[in-house]
Amino acid sequence: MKGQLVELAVIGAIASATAIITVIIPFIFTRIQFVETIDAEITQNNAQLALLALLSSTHENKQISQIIVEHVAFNQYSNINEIISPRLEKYTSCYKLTIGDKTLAQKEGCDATKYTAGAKIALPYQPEKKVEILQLTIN
Amino acid sequence: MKAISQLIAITLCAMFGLAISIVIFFFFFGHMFLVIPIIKENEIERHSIILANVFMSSDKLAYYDTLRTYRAVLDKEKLDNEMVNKNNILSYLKIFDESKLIKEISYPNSAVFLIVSDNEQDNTWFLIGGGPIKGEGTGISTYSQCMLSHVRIDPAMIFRAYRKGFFNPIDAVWTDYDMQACNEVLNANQGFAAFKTFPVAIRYSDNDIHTGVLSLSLAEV
Repeated sequence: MKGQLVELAVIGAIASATAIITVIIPFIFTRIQFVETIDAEITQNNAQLALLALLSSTHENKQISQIIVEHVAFNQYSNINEIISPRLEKYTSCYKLTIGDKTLAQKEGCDATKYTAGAKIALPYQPEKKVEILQLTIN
Repeated sequence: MKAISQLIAITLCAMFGLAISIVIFFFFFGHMFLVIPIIKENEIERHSIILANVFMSSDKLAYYDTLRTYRAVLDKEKLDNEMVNKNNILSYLKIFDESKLIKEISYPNSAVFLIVSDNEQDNTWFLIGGGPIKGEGTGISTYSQCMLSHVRIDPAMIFRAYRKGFFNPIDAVWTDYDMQACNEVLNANQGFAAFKTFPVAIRYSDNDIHTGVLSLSLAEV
């Protein structure tokens, strides 16, 4: 009785092992390849170029960078938004130009967050802060 | 009783076999399945961004003051020399001049259409050209030949340029029919095209600098 059981177990194990190996062998020599294509989107941050073009451009024979400095340091050019906005609107429909915590120009009704560029502006006759960061954010 | 014992033995064997097979299956799972990620970027867009940046930084277009080249600050005199000014009818003859600037700065087997427009004044410069041709009979050479063969220089070009209500140098030189015919040539050769715009400044003099836009169309085969 006991001998029969052992015999049966051995036969069963051999039969199971044979069946398993038969099933697995094809998989060992098989390689299933999945090719996943990832499309990389290329975007260009034009904020730096827009800021560069803005600061280089002139208004009534004076560079915009100089006008911004005089506005911040001496409170001149109270209409600075009217000077800057038409230039930025040619580049983007949503923009915000700030210096420190002061907003120089902003498109109303939208919140610019996508691309940011900064430039350091020297402030004359300002002993407490000689350099301020000008930041342009566009969408 | 004997049958029950045999059944138990067979069941145990089967469970053992199943457990082993599961372990082996997961052991080989990593071997069997191979995931290959392919990052596919839009090469033509990358090329157009690089090419535009080279144009903006090149001393052939950018302002240079003996010490440094001002990137993205384009000199009006250089634009007049190197490109076609829309307000100067004689400069349109440069279209047949094989555009030296684009010959020097471009990708092989490519066609380039460069436009610089002033945002503050009615002034536009443009240039059309092709890069060096690598291999005879390529799609881009056929495309370039097609575009050159369709160029229309006649008194009506000034009316064609404004027919959409604003100045468009492409419309001045080619009609929609011409463009379509040549685009079919490009498509037949599995070509790709990209269009990008970049903010620039245009320097007329030290005290007169305008904001502007550099637009670049690039076709490659």
